[in-house]
Amino acid sequence: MNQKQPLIALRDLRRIYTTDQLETHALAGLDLDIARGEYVAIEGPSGCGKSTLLSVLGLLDEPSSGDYILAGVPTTEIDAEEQARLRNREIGFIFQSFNLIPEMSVRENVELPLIYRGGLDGRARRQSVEEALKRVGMDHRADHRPGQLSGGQQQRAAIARALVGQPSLLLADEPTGNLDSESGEQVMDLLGELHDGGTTLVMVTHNPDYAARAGRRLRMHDGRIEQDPEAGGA
Amino acid sequence: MIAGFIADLRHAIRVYRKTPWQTALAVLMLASAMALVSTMATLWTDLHLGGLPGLESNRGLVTVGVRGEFGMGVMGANSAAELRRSVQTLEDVSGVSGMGFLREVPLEGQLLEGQAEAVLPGYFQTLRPRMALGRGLDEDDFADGGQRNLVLSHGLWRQAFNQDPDILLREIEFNDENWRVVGVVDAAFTGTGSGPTLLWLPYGRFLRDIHSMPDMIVDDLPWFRLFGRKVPGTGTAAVEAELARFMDTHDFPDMFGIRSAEEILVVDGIVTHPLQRRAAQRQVSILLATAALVALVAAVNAGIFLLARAPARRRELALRQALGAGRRRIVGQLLTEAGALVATATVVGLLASLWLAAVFRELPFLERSDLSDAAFDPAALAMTALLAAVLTGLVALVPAALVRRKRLAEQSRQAGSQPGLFQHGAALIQLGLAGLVGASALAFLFHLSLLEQRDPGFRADGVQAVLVSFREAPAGSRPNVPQDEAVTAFRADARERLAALPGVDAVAFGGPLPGQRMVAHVSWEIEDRQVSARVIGVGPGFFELMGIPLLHGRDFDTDTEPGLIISRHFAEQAWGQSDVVDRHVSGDDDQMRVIGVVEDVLYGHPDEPVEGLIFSTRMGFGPALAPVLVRGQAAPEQIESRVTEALDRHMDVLSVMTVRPLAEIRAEATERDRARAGITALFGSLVVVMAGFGFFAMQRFLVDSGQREIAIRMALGAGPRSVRRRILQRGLLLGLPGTLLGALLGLVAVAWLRDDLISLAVNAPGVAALTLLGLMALLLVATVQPARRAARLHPGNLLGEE
Repeated sequence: MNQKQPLIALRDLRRIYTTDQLETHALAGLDLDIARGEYVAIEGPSGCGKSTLLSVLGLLDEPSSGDYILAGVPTTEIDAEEQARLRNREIGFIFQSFNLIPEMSVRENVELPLIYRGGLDGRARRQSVEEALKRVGMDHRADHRPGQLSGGQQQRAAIARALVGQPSLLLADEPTGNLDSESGEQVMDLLGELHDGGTTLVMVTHNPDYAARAGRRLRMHDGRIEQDPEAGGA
Repeated sequence: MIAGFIADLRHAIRVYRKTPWQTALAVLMLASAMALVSTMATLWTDLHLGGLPGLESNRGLVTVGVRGEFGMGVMGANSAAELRRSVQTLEDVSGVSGMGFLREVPLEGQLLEGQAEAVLPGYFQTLRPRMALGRGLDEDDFADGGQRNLVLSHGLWRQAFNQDPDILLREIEFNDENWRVVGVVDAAFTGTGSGPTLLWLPYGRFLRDIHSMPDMIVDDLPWFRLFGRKVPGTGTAAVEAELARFMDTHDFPDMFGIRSAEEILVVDGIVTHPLQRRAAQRQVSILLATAALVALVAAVNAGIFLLARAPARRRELALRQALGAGRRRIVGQLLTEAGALVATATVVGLLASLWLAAVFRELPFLERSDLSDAAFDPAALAMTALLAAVLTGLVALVPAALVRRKRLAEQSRQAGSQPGLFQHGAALIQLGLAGLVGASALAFLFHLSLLEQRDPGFRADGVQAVLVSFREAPAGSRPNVPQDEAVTAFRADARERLAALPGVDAVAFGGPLPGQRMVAHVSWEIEDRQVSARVIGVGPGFFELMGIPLLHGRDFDTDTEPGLIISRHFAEQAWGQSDVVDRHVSGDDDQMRVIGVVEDVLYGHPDEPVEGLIFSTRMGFGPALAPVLVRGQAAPEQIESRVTEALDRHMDVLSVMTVRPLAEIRAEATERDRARAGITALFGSLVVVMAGFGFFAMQRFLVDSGQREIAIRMALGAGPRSVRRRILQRGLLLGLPGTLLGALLGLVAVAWLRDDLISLAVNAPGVAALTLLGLMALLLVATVQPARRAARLHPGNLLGEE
């Protein structure tokens, strides 16, 4: 793959919600490139389109118009199955509310992306899961259910799940929003380590201190990127 | 408390108005079930608990009948007297004569519409009707040579005697003879016949004195319907067992080869057709049980309906708890909501049952079972109300269970929704019952299909039957039965007239026809063995017209030719071979010589084994009454007109009753089976549709409340195919236990039904296997849409913080 080609390329990307004859432009024509290995923080007031942008980047939502090229793949031209495959291989998600499946153990939660990927036998999957859990310091809690863990531990388990498939892009939506400050710090340190390891990281946050840790800070307002150092401002 | 209830009720109405279509559907399901339950409960209580009006007590009364179609009664007067002397399980036993009935009563020079019942000794002692005046008939009233006494109905006393209080011991003229009134029954007692009775008189005196019948017929002809009153503490089965022993050991006189009843049947209550009553009781019991199962499935569905709104309700309930509502208060609110739903459905169901009960009363398998016209019975209403209460509890169970759990607010944010105990239980109950009722319906349909496919041994298509009967004759007078010469002349004339009609291919005479109710078997002595057969009166050309193959010998040449043509089965039973031409059925009489042997013909119900048949020009239906059979395309009106012309010319005491296709007459033999199959199929379809709908609703609920989990899986790389597959797998696994249970229950039900309601040829494991496949298909269909819905989710909207 061409290293100079951006991992993410958005061209005039729009996401419009239509309800009762009212159009809401959640994303109002974005142009954005994110290179491999970048650490990008997205800031902005509530309702400015941060989470929508993250959903579109994660192929969890489809743009109303425009182009989105992920790792050289024009995502608007592929079907839902292909998008799922791309999501599984290239993207890891970290959510504010962790989104672990409560009926499954930590180990099973972390193993899930590898099961969807297929092609790995049970032993290889177990090994990858153990490594991911060790990396986030959760290997001793592998057989616990999410309900038996603290918020910080749940978020670390969620990070293990996000990175187990070695994705090229980690998307984090307010990863510390439901955590106390100590746990928040630990999670942010972990994300920093992952970035240092070469992972591309895109994080939505309200916290300016955490945003300051990113190499690039984007500020959004009314569905547009108001401030992007790479683009030289709004 | 009342204010709280009203507030809850008001809230319930608001809650239901938010989802009008779903609410209407839930009410409709419950109302259908309640209508069926109410209808069946009404019929059941009528058949099991209903008594004869106007008696001091109905307790312990039973009617004695016989199994099988037996045209007359159970036994003769002498045998009944012997039974009365010896019976231990009955306090008393008596009977009423089939022939003693008069349809019009000649009284004091007038002809009154109603019946006169000729009864055996002990009638009034057994039934104990309340008396308005005087007494019932006692033993002395039956003694020969004494005063002729009778008892009047209240209606006759009122109508003909202006309620004269001095009527007792007054002589009145009945049937041109003087009789003395000894009593008047209570207004409510209308007798034991099929219509209102005007008076009761001693059987022997009536027939011997008035009709001058020979003693042998009066004393021994088995034409009595019997009934008795059980000794307290005695079961009906014990009575039946004792009477069966009596039938086995009693030496019945030979009455022209007409056998007395073979197998006895005792049913509770006073009924005119015990066999039909017993069959109707069993059928209605099955249908009542099925209706209760339908109601159970409907209740589970209504529970699912409420559960489907549970995620939204959790927040409301949590808020109420936060505002200080205790658990009991919230359960009370949920019970009020469920109660409102069930109460509405019950009212709608009861109204629908008024119509439904009338429809059911007309069904062939409930014919002649002495059902009353009562719209609602208190016992039936009590049963319905009890079921409504149970359903309310069941419907409220699910949402009430929600309140049991703590931390409702947390639950509103739960990610996944795996089937819980309720879903597993509901699927098990619904699919199990769907299998049970569905398999029964399938079994009845297979049974019907087997009946319809069975070759009767003749061709009914294209044959029209002209049924003739005596014209109305004055009461008390006997019609002049046409002599052989008149019959022969009529037949020749009718053949000629009908043959001249365009489209007529053949004309013949014969009766009774296949499907027509037959009189008793007749026993024949052949080489010291008794062989029984039914007798059919026919004329020349009958076999050719009916397409019945002649195996040996020849057809009759004339309408009065002596000799017999017998069926293959009879020949093989009597002589062990089919070619028995020129053998004699009894003695050396030429009348009894076999001139031909035909292939077997199925005259009775298609599920019955083949019977021996004897065809004669001189027996069976009286030759004059033998139906005219016409093969061809002639119009029924033209046929009727030609036959009427011939009748008027040669036998004017007869007239055409009806012209009907033979296939239609034949089909009457299976009309009860068709009605049973239709009703069971209706119940089966209802339960299966409800179960399918319930399962679908449950899958929808699981998908809807598990959207977050599905979104997580999608975020981790699960594609639409994977999501669909997962929901389908979960649905099939959830339904598998119920499906297996349903197939098992279906197997048991079909094996049980094979006892007597359906043919033994219906393969119970085959039906169970088909049920299994059907339920699997139902699961698949009910799960496909929720699976597709799950695969179409947009996870982006679901994974953020609420």
